[in-house]
Amino acid sequence: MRPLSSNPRLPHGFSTFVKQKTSKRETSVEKYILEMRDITKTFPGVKALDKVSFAVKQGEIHGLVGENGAGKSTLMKVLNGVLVPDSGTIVVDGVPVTFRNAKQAQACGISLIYQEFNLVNTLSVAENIYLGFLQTGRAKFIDWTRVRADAAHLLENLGFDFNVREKVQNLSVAEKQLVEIAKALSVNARIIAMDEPTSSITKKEIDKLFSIIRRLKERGITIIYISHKLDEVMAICDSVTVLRDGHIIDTKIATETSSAEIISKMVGRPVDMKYPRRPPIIHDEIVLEVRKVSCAGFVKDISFSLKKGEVLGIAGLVGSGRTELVEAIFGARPLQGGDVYIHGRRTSIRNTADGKRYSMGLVTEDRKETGLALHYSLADNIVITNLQKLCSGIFVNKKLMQANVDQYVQELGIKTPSSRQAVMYLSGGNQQKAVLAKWLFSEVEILILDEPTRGIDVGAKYEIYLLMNDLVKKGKSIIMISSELPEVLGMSDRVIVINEGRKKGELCGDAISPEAVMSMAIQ
Amino acid sequence: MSLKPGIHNFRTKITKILRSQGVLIGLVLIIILASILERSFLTVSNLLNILRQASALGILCLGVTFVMMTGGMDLSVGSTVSLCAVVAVSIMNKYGQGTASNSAALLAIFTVLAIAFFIGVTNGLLIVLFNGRLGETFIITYGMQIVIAALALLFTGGQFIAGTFGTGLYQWMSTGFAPIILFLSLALIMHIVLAYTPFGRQISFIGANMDCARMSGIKVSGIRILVYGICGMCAALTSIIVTSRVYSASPLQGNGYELDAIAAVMVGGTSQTGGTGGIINTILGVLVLGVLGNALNVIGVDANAQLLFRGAIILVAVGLDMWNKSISLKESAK
Amino acid sequence: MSKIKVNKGNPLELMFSQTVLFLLFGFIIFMAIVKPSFLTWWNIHSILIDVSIYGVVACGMTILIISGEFDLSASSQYMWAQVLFISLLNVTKNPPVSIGLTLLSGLILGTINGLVVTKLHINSFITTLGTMTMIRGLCLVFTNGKMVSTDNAFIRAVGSAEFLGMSSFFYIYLVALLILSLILAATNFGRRFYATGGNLEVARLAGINTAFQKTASFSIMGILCSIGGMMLVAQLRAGSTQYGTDLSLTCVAATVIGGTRLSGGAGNCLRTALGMLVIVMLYKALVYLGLQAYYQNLVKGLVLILVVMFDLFMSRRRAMTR
Repeated sequence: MRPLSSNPRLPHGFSTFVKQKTSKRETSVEKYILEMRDITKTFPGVKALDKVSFAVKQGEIHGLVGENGAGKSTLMKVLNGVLVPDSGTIVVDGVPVTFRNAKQAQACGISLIYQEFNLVNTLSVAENIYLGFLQTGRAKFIDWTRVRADAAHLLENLGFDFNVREKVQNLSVAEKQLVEIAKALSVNARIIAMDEPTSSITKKEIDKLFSIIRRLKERGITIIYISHKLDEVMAICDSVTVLRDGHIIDTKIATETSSAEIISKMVGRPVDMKYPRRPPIIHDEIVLEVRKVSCAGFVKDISFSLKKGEVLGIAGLVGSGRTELVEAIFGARPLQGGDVYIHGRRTSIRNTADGKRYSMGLVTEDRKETGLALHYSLADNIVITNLQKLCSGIFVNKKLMQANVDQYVQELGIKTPSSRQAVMYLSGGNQQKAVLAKWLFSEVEILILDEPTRGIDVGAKYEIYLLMNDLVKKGKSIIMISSELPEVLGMSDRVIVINEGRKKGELCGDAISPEAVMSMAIQ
Repeated sequence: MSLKPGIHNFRTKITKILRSQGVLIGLVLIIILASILERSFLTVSNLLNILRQASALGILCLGVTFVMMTGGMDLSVGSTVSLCAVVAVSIMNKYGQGTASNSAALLAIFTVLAIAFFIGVTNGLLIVLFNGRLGETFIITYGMQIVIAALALLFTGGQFIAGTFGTGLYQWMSTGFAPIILFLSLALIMHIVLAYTPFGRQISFIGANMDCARMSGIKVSGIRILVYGICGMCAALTSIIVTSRVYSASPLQGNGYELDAIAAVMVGGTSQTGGTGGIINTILGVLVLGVLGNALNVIGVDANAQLLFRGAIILVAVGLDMWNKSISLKESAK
Repeated sequence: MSKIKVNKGNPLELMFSQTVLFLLFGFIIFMAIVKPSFLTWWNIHSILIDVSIYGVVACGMTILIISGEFDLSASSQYMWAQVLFISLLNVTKNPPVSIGLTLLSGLILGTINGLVVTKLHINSFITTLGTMTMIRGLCLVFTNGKMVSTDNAFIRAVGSAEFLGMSSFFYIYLVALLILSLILAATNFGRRFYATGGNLEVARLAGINTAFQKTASFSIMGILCSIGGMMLVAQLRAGSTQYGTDLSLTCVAATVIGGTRLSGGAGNCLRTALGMLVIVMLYKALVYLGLQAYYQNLVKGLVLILVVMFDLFMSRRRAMTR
């Protein structure tokens, strides 16, 4: 194996002397700071990790890539002690360890920076860094001067000059990320795992983050960099491990591989198989037209239209206002300005019931919070959108209900022992299909899908894509939001790009390319 | 794996029965215990008496069940009973002399129904205006409880009102089988509404997951407001039956009724977090508390000590509910 | 190098954060114009005594709300403290022992509340609704619904003691306020309440024993209810199940008016003290303006509702904009 430090992607200004020194050390001992052996973790209905073995060398930046639902986050939560694996061992510095909680992992020098930040919004930056264990001075009283100075010092070392008394709720996403990194450093973390750190920050901020990561590496800290954005991983990582469907596929030195090779390993089949093709079936009829809609603080003057039989993709970073946009159109959030036209007629949609009346359905991004009533049965969840359809007289006809539910369970291929099964026991993919079934049952014409494939396995994803194709074939129209660029590109007839609440552009046909979309999304 | 599958099976079976039929078993046990301790307990007249008394509170519980099914809470129903009681008896005293009694009774009933509906809707509006959750429904309806109690006291100037009206429809409301029939028929109607109509299924769904209900295009705010209105009307009916029985009204008439109602609903098994339970559960809960209260009376436990029981019962009921949930969660994990 | 811009917040936010001061001064000016006699020293003194007694319990409510919990049973605990304290005084004739035992009883009751909430995972509203009823029942059984009184010399002395023209109650409150404020602001134990209420999951991940913090907040509440109850006994030399029925709601209202958000994670006792001052002045003004007792209750209920609505409105505004 070639020594890591011969990687030409080392940070600028990194002296040759240091390079040689590191390379000597690396060549002499192949030292793994962390090994995870045969980790298995099962959730009801899903085997999230299946005998995963994963090793990281001292002082490297190790990329962990895989599609959403491949098991990356689960693996990291096991490492961090938040989840206890069913079987397998974790070895740190050659010593087997078991973690029951995050604190124990922290004591071992392992910190995880989550995608959703672990910060208390109501407290200051300084207090968040040392949360709950602030430096005390005389008589057990907190030495605030010292705490603030230490916090400022930590952030200064990262190259940032912060007002550490600022409340976290007033920070931007990138700033919160810095606080998280400072928090990890404050407990002398030797291994910092970052889960999708660039999912909602701008290009400029990403560059800044990378320079910090390189600086951390200089200080001998090991970084596990989790992402599904390959170009970033290839740019910063020394080695890359690919995870797919809960299995480790391969570990490669970054310089010895290519994006194409990694992609094929991530996907596990030829790329063109990933998104099922459909013949063009777009009608000329415009079913939905949105004119200059605004929504306080999130969305400003966005206009677009949707044709019958079309899949319209909405691309943009998390937090760019895409979710708020569709919620406002559906009636889940008040519109501050602008008009929505359905079939050319102006509408006034004030609540979600109105949205449903205009034949729209919204599959929300968080199916567990807003998509399903988890302890209710599959049948109850499916029929809730249109109980009137099942009524004979004023009563709900149970026979009719059963027949309808059976039909949709079969049509969508929802795998469940019975339609009376509580949805919490279904796998992610089947839950997502249940949410879709809700709106199909309601016979909506316009289906809005917000992250329809988040956290479900590859097979189920493919089925959802097939289902989408099937729906547009039947003359329905679909708006799809996704954080996964390939998915938006692969499935959409047309893409609009949103950045900071504004529409930055519209692409269709051959003009849809990853570069074009990304440049609009993060300028 | 258990080494003694027989014993293990037996134990799970017992737990299962206890979990599903716990309330019924409790009811039977209380009846057996009370009739052993006091012969006069198990007489037809006493049992009828229990049913009659339970019916008044039972109607209130039906309304509270609806509110709790949506994941809400109404602490103001006790004062609503008080206010309706003094208003109804005042109307009866003024217009219900001699032969005019029946029409006055109708007037009184519809007036208090309207007042209580208005109070309930106000509760609902305050709660949904800024999308209040369980915590806020507690504080807001607690505030309403105090406001309405003050209104009831202001209405009578703090005085107790003795009944002076003629007998008739109003008196009939609490005699013989009338309150029992009223309670059971109302329970039947509300059970059908809750279990078999779109409206009722939406109520339960809101309790199961309010955000999901909203995102499914259910008019959550409207339904919640209406449910509080219905709960208010149930309180009004309770006040009629109670005042008809005691032939008087006090501005403190309904003090503490909200606790009895919440206890009964919870004992029945309607969950504090909404979504599970129902009217049948509540009927059982009402019977348990009714029998228990009567048994305590017959045995000779005073009213103050019974307050202790009431609080304990709420806690035990919720504790059992949580225990039940944790077991089903464990089962599902297998 | 990047520098964080200081977020000044919008005018509404600013007004909300300073509401309590606006209300306080506005109210004083209003009373000075409408009824100048309201602002006599004697009247202010009696307002401060009430603020002190209720304020002690309000400190506990503030800590509970900061840690994301709630206590409806405060009024019952307060009653129980009065009843128990008087009985102990009458039986033992020994003030220190009586005080110690009453404090212990408060600690136990509060801890029970806390353990039920944290160990059985029952919502704090339901739990304290249950314990509120039980403790009130206990008081009624104990006293048979009658008023109890004491004529202990020590209590009489404490009740009438004054220093620099201020009642001893004021100093008791001041000491409690200072100690609790210090704990909240300058100890890890205190800061962990904020972390627990601000984001339970994050606090847990940071290694904070959130169940302990929550239980502790209930225990502190129990002790403070006992202190409040004993202060009332010292003032009136009597105790009854009729005194302080509105305590819980007054404390919640004072806490929220002071600027502590019901969603938890922020706030402090000093602001609650100001909130309590506003509320007690309002109540006193109602009496002073000759309003019937029932109207006073009406206003108390309305104040509570308004305060909660305002809190909800602010949370919603924050959720809807950023």
